[in-house]
Amino acid sequence: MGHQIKGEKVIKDFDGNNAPEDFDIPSIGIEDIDRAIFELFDKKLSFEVKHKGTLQKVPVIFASGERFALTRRKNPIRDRENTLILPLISIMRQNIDFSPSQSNKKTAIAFREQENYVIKYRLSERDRKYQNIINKQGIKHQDNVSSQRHFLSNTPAPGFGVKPDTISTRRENANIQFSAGAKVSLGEQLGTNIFEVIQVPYPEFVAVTYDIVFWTQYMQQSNQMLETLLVNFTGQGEEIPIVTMGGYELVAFFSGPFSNSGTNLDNFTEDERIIKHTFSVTIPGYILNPKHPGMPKMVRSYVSAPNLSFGVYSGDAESINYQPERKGETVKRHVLEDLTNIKEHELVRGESREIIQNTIINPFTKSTKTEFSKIRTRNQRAGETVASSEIIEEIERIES
Amino acid sequence: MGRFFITPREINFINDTAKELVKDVVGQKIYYFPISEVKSKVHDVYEESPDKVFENPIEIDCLVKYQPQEIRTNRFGSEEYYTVEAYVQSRDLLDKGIEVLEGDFFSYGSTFFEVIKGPATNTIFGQIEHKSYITITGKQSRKGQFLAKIFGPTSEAYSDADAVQETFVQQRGFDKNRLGETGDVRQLRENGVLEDPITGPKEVSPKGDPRSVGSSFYDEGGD
Repeated sequence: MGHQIKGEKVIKDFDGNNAPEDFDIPSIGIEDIDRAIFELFDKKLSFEVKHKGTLQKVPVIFASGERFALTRRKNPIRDRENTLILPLISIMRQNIDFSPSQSNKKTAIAFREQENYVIKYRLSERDRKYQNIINKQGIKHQDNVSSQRHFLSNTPAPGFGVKPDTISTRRENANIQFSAGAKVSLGEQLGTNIFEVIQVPYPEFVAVTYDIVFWTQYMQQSNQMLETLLVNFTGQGEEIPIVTMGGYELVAFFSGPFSNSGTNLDNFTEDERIIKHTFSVTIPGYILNPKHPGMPKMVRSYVSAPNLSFGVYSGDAESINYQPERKGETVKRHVLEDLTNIKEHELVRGESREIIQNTIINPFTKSTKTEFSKIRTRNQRAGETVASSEIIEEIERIES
Repeated sequence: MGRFFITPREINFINDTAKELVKDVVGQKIYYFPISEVKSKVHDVYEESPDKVFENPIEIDCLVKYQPQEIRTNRFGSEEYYTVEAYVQSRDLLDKGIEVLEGDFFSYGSTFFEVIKGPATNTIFGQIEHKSYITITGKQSRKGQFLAKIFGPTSEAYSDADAVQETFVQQRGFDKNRLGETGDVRQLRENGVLEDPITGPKEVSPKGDPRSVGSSFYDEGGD
């Protein structure tokens, strides 16, 4: 993948309809990171304080929801008078750093634009049919596998016509007849196969910073919560690994100290006594395969070509030199088709771009009329013939 | 004033006269849309719901303090933004089983408002169990936040059938009037202190103007 303008990348690379139908990977985005930090405090660490002899789970709020949702919370955090019940933990998202510094955490892999990731390499669905044609194992007595025995006629070599309900091939392949070189085995014989390569784009890195506030009524509760957090730090640093719902592993880096800037113990003459401890958490994450309205599916599937084929063509009419197709010609070529993608107008295998000169003689007036026509090719090996007044005959094929 | 002079009967009297003023004289109302927490799909982390589902709207009689729209000009250009205050009698809400919660929505005219607060503003003669009224402060909600059917009256600039209210019918403590269910309760009459009025709810409507120039007081007894 070449260097492209970022804004164009999503549009260009993920055009087309070659997204695999039976394969997908979970997405990760900002919401997944938010959810991961929320669940870290709400479920994984599970802060509890003792109050009136009973253990009480500390509610966690992702600051802050809509009013109607807060006043009707299933797990109420307010009393009947709509006053918050302490203790509480609030998580508020702050910066989302998409620069190379990533909130000074950097990334473990290159920040710059890279090639797409190949995440799966598997046999294509079409490989089964292809294997029946090339008959790698040299099977002779199976109707759905190509064999020389299935030809109706020996001429022209290697054979012509196929018996009903059987298949054969004119490929120069020794395996259409049983040979000593054929290997009959139940083991995998990968090589001449059609492979499907599935790619995802390189992730976009973001570092998300959160402000966490422990809001308690009593110092004892505050101590319990802070200690619960501290003993859960893993490794040598102040960090805790977390996992998103999609299974992506991230690390939450905690930045100290626990600031008590919200605490008003030095002067609460006209206020209630408040004990608040604030600290921040930074999670270096990334965005991969987001699934939003308007976004294309970012998983792409490509199929390998086990055979390369070059053909030499001849035609009766005079071929005009190739000229770039003009817009009007493009439209005309597809006038009877429903295009769903702008790239569909590009030539695909089996089509050629030459223009031939066709002279038509009027049988009554004997006048001649010259027309320039696009041509369709005929490819018997692909099993298809496109009817056209200007058929190009393939006279030779070089395969590798 | 002490409880020695303000007995529950006086409290009922005060509430009934307040209802009489609001429902039988003033005739202002808002349409209240309680958001259904059960029916709305609320995001479990963000606690928000772009597609809110509301219960059936409720017509609430109240006094509305209209305030002109605030004109804001900022980096996005100019916009008009309404704030409104509605004073709703606490006893009336109690009678109808309505709980005003922050985050619900109401319409007044053609504008929708989000309830940002609704404190019980006063008690009746300091008796804590008898709240006088609540003051609902509504901030205009944007279209992406809430949208529902608009109930009139809205504006005489519009041509909708209900854009201008031509008929006002009193409630006078009757379960229903000509326009339908009222849910109105006058406690003194419920308790048998007062009898029902001899005549029913009166109305101001086109029926009261024989020249068809506009609505006027219509006395059903003279019909």
